[in-house]
Amino acid sequence: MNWRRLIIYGVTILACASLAVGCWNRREPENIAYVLGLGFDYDKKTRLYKAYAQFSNPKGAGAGASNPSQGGKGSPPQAAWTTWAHGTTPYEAIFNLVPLVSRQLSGSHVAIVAISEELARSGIGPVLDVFERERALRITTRPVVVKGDLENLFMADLPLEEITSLGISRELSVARLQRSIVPAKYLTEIIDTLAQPGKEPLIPKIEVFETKAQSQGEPKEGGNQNRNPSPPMKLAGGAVFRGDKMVGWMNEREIRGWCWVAGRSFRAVLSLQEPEYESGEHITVVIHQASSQLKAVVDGDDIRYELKLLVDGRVEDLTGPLDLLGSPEIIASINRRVAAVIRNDIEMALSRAQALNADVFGLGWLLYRTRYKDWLRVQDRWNEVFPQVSLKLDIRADIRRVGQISRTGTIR
Amino acid sequence: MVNRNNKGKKMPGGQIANRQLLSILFIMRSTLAIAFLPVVTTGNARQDAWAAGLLTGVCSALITVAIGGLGPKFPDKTVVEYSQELLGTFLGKFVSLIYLTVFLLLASIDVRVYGEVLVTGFIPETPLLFIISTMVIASTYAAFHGVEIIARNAEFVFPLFAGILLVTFVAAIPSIDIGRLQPVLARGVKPILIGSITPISVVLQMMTLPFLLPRVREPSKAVNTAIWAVVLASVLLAAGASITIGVLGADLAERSVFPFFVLARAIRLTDFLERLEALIVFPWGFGLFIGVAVYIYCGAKGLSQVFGLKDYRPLLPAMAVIWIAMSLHLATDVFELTRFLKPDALGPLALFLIGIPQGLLWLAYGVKTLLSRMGG
Repeated sequence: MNWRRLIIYGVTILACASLAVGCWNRREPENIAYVLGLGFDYDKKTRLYKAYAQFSNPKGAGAGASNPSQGGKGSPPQAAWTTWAHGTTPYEAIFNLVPLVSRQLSGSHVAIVAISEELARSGIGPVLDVFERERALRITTRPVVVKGDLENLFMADLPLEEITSLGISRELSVARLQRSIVPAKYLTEIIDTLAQPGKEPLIPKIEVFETKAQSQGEPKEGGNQNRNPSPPMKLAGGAVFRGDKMVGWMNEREIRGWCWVAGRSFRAVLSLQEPEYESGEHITVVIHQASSQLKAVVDGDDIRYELKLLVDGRVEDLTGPLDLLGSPEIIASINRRVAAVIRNDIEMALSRAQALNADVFGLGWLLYRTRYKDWLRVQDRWNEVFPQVSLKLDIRADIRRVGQISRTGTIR
Repeated sequence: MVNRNNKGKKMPGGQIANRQLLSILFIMRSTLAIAFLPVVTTGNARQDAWAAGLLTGVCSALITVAIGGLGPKFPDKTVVEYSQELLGTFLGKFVSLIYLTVFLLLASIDVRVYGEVLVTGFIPETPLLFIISTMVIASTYAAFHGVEIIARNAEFVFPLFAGILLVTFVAAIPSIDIGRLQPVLARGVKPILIGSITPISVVLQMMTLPFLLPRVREPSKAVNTAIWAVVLASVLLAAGASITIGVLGADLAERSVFPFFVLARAIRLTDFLERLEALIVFPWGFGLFIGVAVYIYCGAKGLSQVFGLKDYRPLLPAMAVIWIAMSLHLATDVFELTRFLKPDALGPLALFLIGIPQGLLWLAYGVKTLLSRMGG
């Protein structure tokens, strides 16, 4: 190989290599602080956004969860550190953190975005815009609307987690596997829902407990005091939006109703009265499979919806003795009761949505998708039509298994 | 094997197989489609973008026939040569120059869009000049070694290119909500027609075909191959559009400057299989390299024939510089670039750039055939 060719090859290889690297200015990993959770609040008076950022703390990495109330000397550094700043836009608020943080901010690992109730009520559009537009932030981030103080949320020490934001993200992904009481979503879906006609967003709700009141008052569900900290928050229910503005909450039961209609229920725990007892004894049924089919029926000016729902479940608990395998009538009766519970769920959810005039089920969207001509007639007055629409339910519940025992043990 | 370019000069020559031609044309056609999913971003087809993609396939195939159809009738000649034979020296050279302008334009758009994506999504502070010039220089180097080298490269890149796209599509499938693709074709034909104008206009790319054709082992089959490439790329375009809209929704997809890239960012199969966007840029960069190399090869080859030069290679360095400059000055910012790619800007331009040369050539060919028949 002669020199000329060698030089040509060398230059080409270098040119290709520099293309592959694509790095113009150095970004050293040790100079970067990774934001794991972002929070946004809005003050209507000052019209300023407040951005909370929870960083992973390299000093505390691997130190394990430590108790924030004992922040004195000798305790290991926290695995996460939270700080906040104000700004006229969400983006500016984030970058007003710069003087407060010793490292370069990186948003590429944000797992959750917590939105305060005030911001949610005044409109989440500006926050969504940052997540769509900015290069490092992702629309696969999980949003939550926080009832209570954002500061408390990020300061909260989730007992089983090192870093609160990651803990919440984890909870969002596992909650729906256990009970259908959280409308867990990525931002992608919220963004799309906002753009679809006749469909309004629903975002999971986190309720933060007042830390002081809790430690002084009687222990709520599960533990108190320092050695066994109380749960600092609760993830259940959802925030109902009309457009990008929040208009109200839906409770756990209503969310469950929404899940049935939206085909989102993965697993649901229902408790109902045992058929053979007049009062007092209950039976728990776990629904592990549900398939729903929603149809719009247009009859002149009358718009109706029909939901066909098939659920499969199993019995998980009885408080009074009952021989489930003994008589088919009992199972049939339980099936009817399960269907009744689900019917109530759905009716509660629908009447809440209609009261808030927010079509979180996407009934209008269904019309738009399947009966476009009819949608064109009502699209301008859908907010008048939606509160009046009726939903006809056809629910079929099948209890197919009774767990590992066929009847309650006899106590002699 | 007999060199079809029977001038007997020691030119980097060789021949390319039809399979390689398919790879080249498919990759060229797909890179721009991937870049900004024209059926989604340029029109108002929204959830019906897939239909615009299929329409693009049909129309582009027809235009490809128009562009390539004369080639097999002059199997040893590029369009520069046979246009002079058909139209006379002056008009023939004029037509050839239109071809060369098209290559310059397309290559600059291609590289520029690539640069914009990198700057928007990955390396915001890197100067565009750097990204563009490295790409053009690498492509020029490939063109220097002739069409056979480019073809072999294309053959190598093709499975990589198709494979990674396939992986991306498959990974996106769990996130698709079919509802986002409804209502189907509810808003009539007009949005679909408008949505397909830009991708059809980009069939200008097929004007490279008459330059590659003399090098193809079986020129008679080359037009068929080109049609296959166009149709396959359009199917890819339609599938990409449906998947992108199924995942992001029509609105976000349409608002995105580079929707395919946003799609790749939105893929999240589990908590550990995410961040696939680098995977997209990688084959796309290779694909672009092939495309630009072909344009610069055809451009230089054409220019050398127009001016009667023996070898096209001395032209390459100068052309590379011009192409880099053209790419930088094509648009001052991303707004101008997007406006340029809108149907009302690119459509008429493409109509002019395809219509005039093809009209002239086919007219001349028709007259000539008629005359010879009457004469004979």
